[in-house]
Amino acid sequence: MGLAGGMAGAPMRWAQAQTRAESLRVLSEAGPNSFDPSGIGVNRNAIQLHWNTYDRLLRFGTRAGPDGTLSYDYSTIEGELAERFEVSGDRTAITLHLRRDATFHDGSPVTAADVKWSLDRMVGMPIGRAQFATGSMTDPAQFVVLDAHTIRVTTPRPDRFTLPNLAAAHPVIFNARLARAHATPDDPWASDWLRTNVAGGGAFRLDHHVPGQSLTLSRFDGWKSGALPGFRRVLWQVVPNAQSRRASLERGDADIAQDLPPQDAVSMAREGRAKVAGVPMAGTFQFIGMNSTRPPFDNVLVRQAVAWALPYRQMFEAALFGRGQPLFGGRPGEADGLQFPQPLGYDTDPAKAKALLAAAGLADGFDTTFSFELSLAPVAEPVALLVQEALGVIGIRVTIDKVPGGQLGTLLEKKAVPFFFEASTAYFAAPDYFFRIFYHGPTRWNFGGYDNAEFGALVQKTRFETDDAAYEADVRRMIALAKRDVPIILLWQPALDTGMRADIGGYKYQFHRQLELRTLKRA
Amino acid sequence: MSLLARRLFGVVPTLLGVVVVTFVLTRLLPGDPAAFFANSPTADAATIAAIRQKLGLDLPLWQQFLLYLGALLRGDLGQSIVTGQPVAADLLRLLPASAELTLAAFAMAVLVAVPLGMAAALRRGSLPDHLCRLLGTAGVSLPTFVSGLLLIHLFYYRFGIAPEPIGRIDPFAIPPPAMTGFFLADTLLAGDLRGFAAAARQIVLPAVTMALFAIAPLARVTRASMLGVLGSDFIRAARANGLRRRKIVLSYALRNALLPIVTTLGMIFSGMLGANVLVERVFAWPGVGSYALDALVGLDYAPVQGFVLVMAGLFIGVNLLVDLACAAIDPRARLLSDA
Amino acid sequence: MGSPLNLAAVAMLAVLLGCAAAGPWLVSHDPIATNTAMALRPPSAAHWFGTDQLGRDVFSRVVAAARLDLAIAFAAVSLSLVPGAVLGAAMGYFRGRLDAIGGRATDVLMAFPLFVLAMAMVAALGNSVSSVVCATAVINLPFYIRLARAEAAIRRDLGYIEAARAGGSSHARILRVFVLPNIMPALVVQASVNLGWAVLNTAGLSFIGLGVRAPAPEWGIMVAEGAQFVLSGRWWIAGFPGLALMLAVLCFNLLGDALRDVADPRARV
Repeated sequence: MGLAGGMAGAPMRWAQAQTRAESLRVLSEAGPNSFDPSGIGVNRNAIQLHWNTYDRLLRFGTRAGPDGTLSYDYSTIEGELAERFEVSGDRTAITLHLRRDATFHDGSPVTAADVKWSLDRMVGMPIGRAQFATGSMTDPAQFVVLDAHTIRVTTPRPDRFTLPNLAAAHPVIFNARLARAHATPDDPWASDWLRTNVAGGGAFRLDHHVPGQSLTLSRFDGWKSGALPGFRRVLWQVVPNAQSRRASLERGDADIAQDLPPQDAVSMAREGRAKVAGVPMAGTFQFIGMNSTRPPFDNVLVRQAVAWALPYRQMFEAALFGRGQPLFGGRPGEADGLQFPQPLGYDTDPAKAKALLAAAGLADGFDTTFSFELSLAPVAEPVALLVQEALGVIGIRVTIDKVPGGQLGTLLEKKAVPFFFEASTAYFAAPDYFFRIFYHGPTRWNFGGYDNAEFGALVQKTRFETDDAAYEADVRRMIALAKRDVPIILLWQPALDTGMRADIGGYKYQFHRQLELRTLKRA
Repeated sequence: MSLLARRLFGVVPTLLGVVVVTFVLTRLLPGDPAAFFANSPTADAATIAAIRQKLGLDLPLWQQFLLYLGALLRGDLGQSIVTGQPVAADLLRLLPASAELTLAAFAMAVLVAVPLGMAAALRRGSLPDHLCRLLGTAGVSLPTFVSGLLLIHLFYYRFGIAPEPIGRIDPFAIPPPAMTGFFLADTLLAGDLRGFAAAARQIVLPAVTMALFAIAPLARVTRASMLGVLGSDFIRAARANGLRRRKIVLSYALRNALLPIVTTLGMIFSGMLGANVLVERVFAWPGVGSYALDALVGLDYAPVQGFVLVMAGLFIGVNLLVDLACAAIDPRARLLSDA
Repeated sequence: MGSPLNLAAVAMLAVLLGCAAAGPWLVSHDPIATNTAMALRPPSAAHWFGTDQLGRDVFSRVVAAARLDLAIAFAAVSLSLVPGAVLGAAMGYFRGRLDAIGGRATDVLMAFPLFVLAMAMVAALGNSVSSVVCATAVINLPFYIRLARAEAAIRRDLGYIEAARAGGSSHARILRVFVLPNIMPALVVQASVNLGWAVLNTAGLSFIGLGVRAPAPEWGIMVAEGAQFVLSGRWWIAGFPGLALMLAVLCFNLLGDALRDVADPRARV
């Protein structure tokens, strides 16, 4: 090696063996397209970057799942940059006390002024405001600096979602002085600069980014908001092909392979050359939607007929290889606990389906098109084929339409597709939050176009309900309505399958489905 | 030289046509970027409208086109939403990777196909002739994504001979100082032989995958062209004069057979440049092809337009080079291309 | 034509056409019927090529796919051959403004990266077989136009055409009777090579998820979908359709070569 090393210039350098032990190599399907949580068109891979390079005021707690895998705990909220916080007696004010020793990556201290600027920025940008509005935060006047290390957040009325919103992925705390230096009159929130630069104080700093290819992160040794991460260096590479990610992990070249297809998760776990953490994604669900604003799916009997006709178990095995939590079967017609999504109570019963279809006046069936998006094809295509076959039995003739990415969103927005497979995620585990997004209103997220006066009133009522008993009764009623009217047929919560080498420990599932780098370590 | 000037001037309407067609085609895509990019469940109609305005998609089409054209004239290819970078910067960064891969594959194909075609011509109708035709044709008969996956499976996953089929260099290596953007050249310029070997190992599999596709047509043209020349009078005369076979083949026959070969080379190079989308995808090769694919699927107009424009420019450039090369080989060709 | 390879290619073409014509009667299973209890079985006596993710018989699907694949290839090629021949011949025959405009249009089309153009067209026209056929036809069109134009340009000043013109034949008649039939051999050779290429193009589009609609069996899409099972050891799902695809393209390419040897005087020396 004297030859290469002795020459002028900067020859390729390889990480030494001992630093390899402190480095983590992660392969994922796609990379971040922005580092700004409130930017436009920011993809979900961006969360993995800003989650680990920025701190938030608060974070969700941790709990262990049945198999020992760590997971976030929606029911407990703890401080991150805020070392403690108090909620006022009337639950309209939250006082947050910042860590006095916390600094940003450039060494400047984290102050209440930084926090204030960051929260103001949230409500000053469209995506951020839409998110914060779910926690009754819409106006900068709601964020008040009390002293250099104390800030108070007030809301017009008590809101269950204010605290979770502060712990969610969006409201990162920026180094305001640094960010403001890059603001312009046209761009007061420095969004152009923050899209490609990190101005934070999280556990990792971003060293190098090659868009669409790789990111290099190094540990921020001055991080105070938790135990120092186990890895000094993280190399995160984008490998679109799932088979390549798996091959690289199994041959020991990579430490973690994200976004494994279900059949690979199954066969990798069986072959044992790498371990697989498969956590059913809380809040994430895959479903079959029916456009209830137009015939024939405006008829509840037709929707029920479809729900009784689907071959759930076969779909679960053939498409998902059993990697997930079923949302079929279960107790029909009424709520089974307060959590939602929960199994809707439907199972495979073609005779019942046929009878319902006849009752709807469609004994001869009808023609329809079943759409799904290209990127979901590995799961959606087998589902579509089984749906087509099963509905053929009760006389519904289905054409399958695979829609290139991006187009289905537009069609759903216009409510132009009758019958489709989709997936979505709710970040907050509260049932009324779920119903407000997915069963209510004119947006595309109300996938079934569900419009029921009683349900709509309950959605409004539960928003600010402070009486627990009343809240519980209302949620039970909404669950019963969702089961009866089935605007969308929930299928399952798929598992988030992440493959990793046997010596990688500390994996923790987060609500945003991206990798938590801070807890990982090599055994 | 006036021919060159006229050719360069003639490029302008072609490029303008490409710009118009691409613009129309992207706008025909049945998807609304604003709705696509407002991908947060809390986004409502007002959010989408705000995004549409920010992206300039609320303007009438003709106005969007004029704005685009004006930006083009200033050398601004627009902004990619998928990568968050200016398109020009993206293309500048990614193009060397694609070009290096294409050139490597092209060199491989030429080194294999031309001798193969000559050998087939010299031993026409023999077993080697048939075998070369069968193998060459078999190479063109597999979709590139299949041959790529097959090579990865065998040489990386099963036997572990090839390096990890991900990207252009070892993941823990630092890229060589960028001078040409071609890692093979940059490592040599920096005097880094180990780096050169690593970059070369990395490029072998994708380049072979692409080269497989070019060998058959090239070998075929070489064979046909050689056959034509070998049967001509002056070669017979040379033979009769007792010149050595080796000299006849290499200095007389090959040179005279070169014209159709060079023309085919140009076509094949352009074809490879445009067709490496799938190879780049399979080998996670950070080139312009997979960049354009992501943009197209992601309703990101600016990168698609920029990619097509740059590719069109390259194709036209390659064609020009081929014409010049033909003129250098055979002065009569100038008349032909002028006709 | 007598080379053993050419004979093998003709035999293969016969098998392919046989599968395309009689496929549904040749197979043991319904190519689209699922049976999830039998999913992912390796090749056996009951399922010669094994079964796929949904328990469908891979052998039956491979045989049944011949019809769709050949139909796409032939449709795409004739859709570019016929207009290409007429347009190109007219351009070469009339010259003048028609030639200038047509030549410019083909220049524009040929300056596109063709695969990306095909992708964009399928995405814009809707994800279906007919879009794939159209896209493949359009990206091939300029090659036929150029070829037809060159061939027609050589012939326009030949004696028999001048004689016909002097004899009072209309331009349309001259084009139809004298020009087109004479330039056809060259175009047909081009077409036979293009058939294989059209199959590959369809497969490439399938790989990125565009094109043929499920549940219709098609080789490219079967390979693309089966490829994700290779590392889990289920090689047969992609392997057999891949083999069929390769043999079909090989057969078209060999036939195209053979035809070219017949048509191209230089190679006949």
